Amino acid sequence: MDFLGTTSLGLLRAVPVTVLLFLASALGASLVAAVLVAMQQARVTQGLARAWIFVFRGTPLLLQIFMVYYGIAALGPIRHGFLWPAFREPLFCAWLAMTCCCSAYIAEVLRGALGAIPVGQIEAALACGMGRWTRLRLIVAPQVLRLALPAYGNELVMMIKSTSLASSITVLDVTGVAQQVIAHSYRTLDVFCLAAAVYLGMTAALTAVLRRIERSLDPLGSAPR
Amino acid sequence: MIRVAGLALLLLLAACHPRAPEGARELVIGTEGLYPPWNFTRADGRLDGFEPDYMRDLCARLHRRCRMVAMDWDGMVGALQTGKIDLIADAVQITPERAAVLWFSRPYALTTGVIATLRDSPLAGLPDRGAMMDFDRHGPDLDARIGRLRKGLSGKVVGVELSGAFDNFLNQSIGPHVTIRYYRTMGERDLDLLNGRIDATLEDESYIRPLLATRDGAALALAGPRMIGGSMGRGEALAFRPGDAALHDAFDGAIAATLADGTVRRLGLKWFRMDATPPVAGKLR
Repeated sequence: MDFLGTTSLGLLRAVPVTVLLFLASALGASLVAAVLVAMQQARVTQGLARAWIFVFRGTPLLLQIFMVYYGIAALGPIRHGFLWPAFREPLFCAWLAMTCCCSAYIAEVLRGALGAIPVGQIEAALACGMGRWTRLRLIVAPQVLRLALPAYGNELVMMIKSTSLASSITVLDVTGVAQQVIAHSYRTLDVFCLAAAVYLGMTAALTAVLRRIERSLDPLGSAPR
Repeated sequence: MIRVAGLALLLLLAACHPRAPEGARELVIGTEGLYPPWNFTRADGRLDGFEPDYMRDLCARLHRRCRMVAMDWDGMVGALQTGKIDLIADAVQITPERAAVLWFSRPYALTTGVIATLRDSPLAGLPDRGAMMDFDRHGPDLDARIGRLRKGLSGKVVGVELSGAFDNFLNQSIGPHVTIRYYRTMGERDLDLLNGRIDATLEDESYIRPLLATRDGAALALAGPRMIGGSMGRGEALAFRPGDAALHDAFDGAIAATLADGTVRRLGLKWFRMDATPPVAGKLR
């Protein structure tokens, strides 16, 4: 097989690593973001949630990945503690850093959607005698989901591309394999172009899924088709 | 608008114009600046080590003005190919794979690959400790040693620098029996070796020995055989763009002179605390 064929195959074999890192971080970050939004509703926990967002949104993801991978490993209690089997793995470190970083962004997306719900609706729900949970389930949550989706989808696309930073801590994802192939073949342009095509494929698939969800959540049919 | 575009094009052409005649032009030498004692960057930003010393000597012999620039190894061959630098002096081992895309000078040093591991690691007891394994001398003896090495490293995680000569060797000779982790820089690899993320590394003896002498490096020990030849190459040489015969031949002559008059031996003793002078052999390109 020729060089481009072999390289494409090698890059495609690394797709599961990239996808796994993306799905795990997307899940983790979304859960943490939901907790952060909930924390912002209460005065006691508001400060902590804001500090989290301030720190993780205000520093580069690459730096966070290095801090988790090299920084935490240098701490004695972690290195000799029960958490080491997890922190030993580069994939876990990448996942942790991405979860923390992206949760800050997603929390802001959710907060924006929450703020977009008209106060009148909440007042109406209160007037109808709805409790906190009924309100959340019937009025707030469905609308937050719909309102947040475009910005949330944007965040997910960014996350797919951010997974490539994991290659800087020895994870052999699509970018890691691409760098390895370049290191042996010295063919920079064609290999990076192939890698870019693989990422394009992944983001295209994600965008298609998101569009589908957007449409199904849109009763008025105003979402792009 | 057209005039502005024309002017921009003219400026661009001027910038790309073939350089001033050979001899007058300053030579730009690429090195990593992160590979002590071969080449490293001092706290004040100055490059120092065996190669900066040696290149100063060679350039003086050739009456050329030279400037060393530090860059990552993974972009160095690309920089050479695109003409950003004129030659590479970065302890580049002459491997068959690299010889396909680079022109090598004759070697100016010959060092061996060694395995380093944590002192208390089970790998510290690898067989054939200190024995020389020449991968160009095929025979039952070599096969037996490769077998023992494979068995010893089986299931372990070995870290190497991406695109280093040892990366190929592990893939080809030890292959699927070990997990290989690739690092962009040696410093990152050393950190992971010290904190136990990887079980061992395969690296040049000239790099490992000084590391062992440092405070952190005291936790490390050499294990198993010393290795040479095969995909690990036969010595370190300068690398040139293919076809750059004038520069290549000029440096080849200068290197021969430094090998003959003991300059290489003197610098080896200064920086490696050992004589790394390669045995006299035919020219390798």
